[in-house]
Amino acid sequence: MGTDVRHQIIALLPRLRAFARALVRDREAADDLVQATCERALRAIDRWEAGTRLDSWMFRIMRNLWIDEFRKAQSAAPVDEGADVEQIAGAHGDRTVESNLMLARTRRAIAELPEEQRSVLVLVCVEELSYREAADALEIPVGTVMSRLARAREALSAMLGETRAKPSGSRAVLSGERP
Amino acid sequence: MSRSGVTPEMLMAFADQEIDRETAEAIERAVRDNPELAETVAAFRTTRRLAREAFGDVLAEPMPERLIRSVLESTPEGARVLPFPPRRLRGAALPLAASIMIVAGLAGYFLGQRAGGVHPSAPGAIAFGDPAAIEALASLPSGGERVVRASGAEATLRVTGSYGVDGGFCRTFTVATAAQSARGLGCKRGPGWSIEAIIADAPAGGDQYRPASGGDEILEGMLDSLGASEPLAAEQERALIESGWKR
Repeated sequence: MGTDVRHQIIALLPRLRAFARALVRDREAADDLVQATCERALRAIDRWEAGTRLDSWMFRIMRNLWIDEFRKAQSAAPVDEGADVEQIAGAHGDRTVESNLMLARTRRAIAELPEEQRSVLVLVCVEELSYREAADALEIPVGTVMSRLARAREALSAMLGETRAKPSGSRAVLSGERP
Repeated sequence: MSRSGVTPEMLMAFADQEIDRETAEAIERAVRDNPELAETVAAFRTTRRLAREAFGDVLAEPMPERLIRSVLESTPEGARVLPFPPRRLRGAALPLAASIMIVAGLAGYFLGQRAGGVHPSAPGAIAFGDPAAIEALASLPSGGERVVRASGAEATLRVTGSYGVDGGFCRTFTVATAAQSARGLGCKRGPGWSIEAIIADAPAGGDQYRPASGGDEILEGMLDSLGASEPLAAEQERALIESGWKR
């Protein structure tokens, strides 16, 4: 028997969830988006060309679904910062409190980026797509991926730099953070 | 910022290793002579790492059963067979057509590299929690088994096959306590081994939810999506174990 595409989709689920969480803050709503994405992908699976990347194709479906059906609902959703911090702090008891807080700050800073920057950031830096693959997933030119990505990361550096009052400014936070 | 004609985008592409060798060498020279540019490259590397870490928890979270179920219970349109080469897990030692179930609340599946949230009494937790399990995965020949311990329980880990995948190697295994058993997939696609998936076997006679397809098929699907080869022959495997799984 050949391999079922469903099993490949299951293997992608953690990554689909990560991208969904970049688009939708509420955890349940993000999982709804993942589920809707899987359903739409499986209905349209004959439009996926075997041999091309299933992940980029599914990220594209997810973002289009979000634009069509989820975006409006999300803008009304309350932002739950407390749960965010708690979840990170609780998930890794082995991390220092400081690095847990740094992660919480990073998440908050990412959430404050405009969606178009946030999507590129997550596809490249978290999902580890190449610039080309991210461009395909978002249906934009590679040059646009690069300019959005650079702006997103400059904004992130600036936001995270401001969260700690160190005399040497953002540089110390950014280059000195690694233990 | 755009001193010596180097744009932030170029420095970012350099940090992300997204540029050709020639440009990279030119940027490397520019960065060496200019601390300001070097700082910008470092900041791009840092934001990448921070973004990755900020989402690490989501990637490692237990997978809600409803998502797995929604995929497994759907019928792909046309239900076509994909052109992957047929490859069976080398599983002579496994019970054939084992009935596998995905246990709601048992958080052992599709975890990334971290062990957060694994049910402590599950065999999966042993595989995740015990460095001895990782050591067994790296060193046992297929068919070999070893007792590993965690949280006061003990389980037998048995390696069932080895595969070359994109960027490294994966091995399939079973892990069983007296009460429960599971099968899983561990891979070395970077410096170390990590457990990619653990799927609990259904207890005999249980009437809990069972997916239409077995855990072996899920692991096979994961192997295929990683670009897995045919199972490695015993002598290849032996050489890899001795070399520490160097490519």
